[in-house]
Amino acid sequence: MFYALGTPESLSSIGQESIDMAEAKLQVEIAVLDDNPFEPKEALLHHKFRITELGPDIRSLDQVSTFPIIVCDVAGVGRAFGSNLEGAHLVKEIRKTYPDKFLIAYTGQTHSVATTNALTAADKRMAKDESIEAWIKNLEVGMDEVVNPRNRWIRMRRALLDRRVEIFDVFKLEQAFIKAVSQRKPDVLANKALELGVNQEVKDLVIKFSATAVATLIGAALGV
Amino acid sequence: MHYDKQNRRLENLQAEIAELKTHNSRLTTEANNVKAILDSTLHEVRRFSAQLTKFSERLSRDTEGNAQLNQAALSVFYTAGMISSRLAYTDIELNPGAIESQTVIRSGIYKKFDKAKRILAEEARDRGVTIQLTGESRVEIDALPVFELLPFVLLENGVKYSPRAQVVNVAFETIRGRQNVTVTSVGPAVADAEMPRLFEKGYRGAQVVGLPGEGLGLFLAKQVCKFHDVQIRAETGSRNLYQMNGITYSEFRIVLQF
Repeated sequence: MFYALGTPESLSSIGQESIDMAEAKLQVEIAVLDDNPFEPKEALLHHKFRITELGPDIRSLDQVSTFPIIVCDVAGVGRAFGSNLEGAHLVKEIRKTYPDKFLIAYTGQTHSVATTNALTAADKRMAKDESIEAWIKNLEVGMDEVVNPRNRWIRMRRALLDRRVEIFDVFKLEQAFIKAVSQRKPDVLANKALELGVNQEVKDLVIKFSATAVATLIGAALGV
Repeated sequence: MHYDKQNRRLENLQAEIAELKTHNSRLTTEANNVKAILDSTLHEVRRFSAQLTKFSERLSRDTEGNAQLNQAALSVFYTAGMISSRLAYTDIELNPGAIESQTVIRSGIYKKFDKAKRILAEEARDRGVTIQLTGESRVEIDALPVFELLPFVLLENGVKYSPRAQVVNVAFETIRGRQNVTVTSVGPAVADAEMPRLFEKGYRGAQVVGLPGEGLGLFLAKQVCKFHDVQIRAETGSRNLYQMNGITYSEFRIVLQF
């Protein structure tokens, strides 16, 4: 027996057709993981992007939890994670834990088939010496993905479906997300995850998303 | 007797296999060494190219009040961009899948030719050749990083092969709704039989074999056109203009259709 009462909220009710890029640049802090100084930084700062260089030696994924966009070099980065794929492995790990984040992997080895294949988890793969126009374009694409609540949820939703969460549970989580954003209560989503019969990995994923992404989206809406 | 012969043949074949295995292992080691050298070199060149872009970009901002210095800074900045474009082409040669990762940027065709003109300004001046852009174009295309190579190699060829006091003209016209760009210059004559081979890798016409060059420019131009669905063709003047230092010169045109 199955009853559906009431009308679900549509995801488009919290989405925007286009974002205010100047506002988005003020809100979003971009993390850069590199063992060398990030060369495009100066030019990107002139274009009003906010960039924080975290160096190459992050020890825990929690260090990037608050950054919606992460730019990661491949060689010499994330060695603490113990993989010879270095930055490529780190990108994969960040993607697993934070599927909603926008990840740009960049490398001096774009000619290498092996490197290209290792970077499939990244949203964008770039060459180390790519033009400033290319950096601006890709970062703006990233801004649109992470600042727009609808786009950000769609990224999360894809990750839930990849983890074989039942479609009805995804639907309930989506309704909770819409409620959390529109009522500005991040706990609504986390509580829904806790009450559903989804596995612990999925619960953790949604709780993390709720604490970072949802909280940031609400903070931005409140101008915090 | 028969068995001895067979055994000797077998031993010889086994010795040959062992020798080939050694040879194969040596070649594999060599290939791995070359790959390691290529990997580290390309990685470092990209790093230096990124630094060059950063410094020249800063310099061009800091010299805005000084036209001459600013022009020099911009030339360095654009040249750094050419290194990136050339490496982007190398990426595609070594890893055809790389083209899917490259960032496409909406770019004005006229602006790209103007940029190539600026990069080549000094070389053109040294050779007494003038590059001029005529007509106008507001047409933009989705350009891969390698697109920069196209105007550059066409203008560079024009400058390189022109006698002194000549003009390399880049004409922008709209013909039947399509943007045409025609690069016209005076250069070593190309025989009719040579025309179909001009875009082959390493091909050089009879009149230019004594001049410096590797026969790569037009090949690269054709490849870049292929990536962007641009049609390219070469045309030559119907009559020879003059002879100089044993080389016959005629008008030469490259026509691009966007």
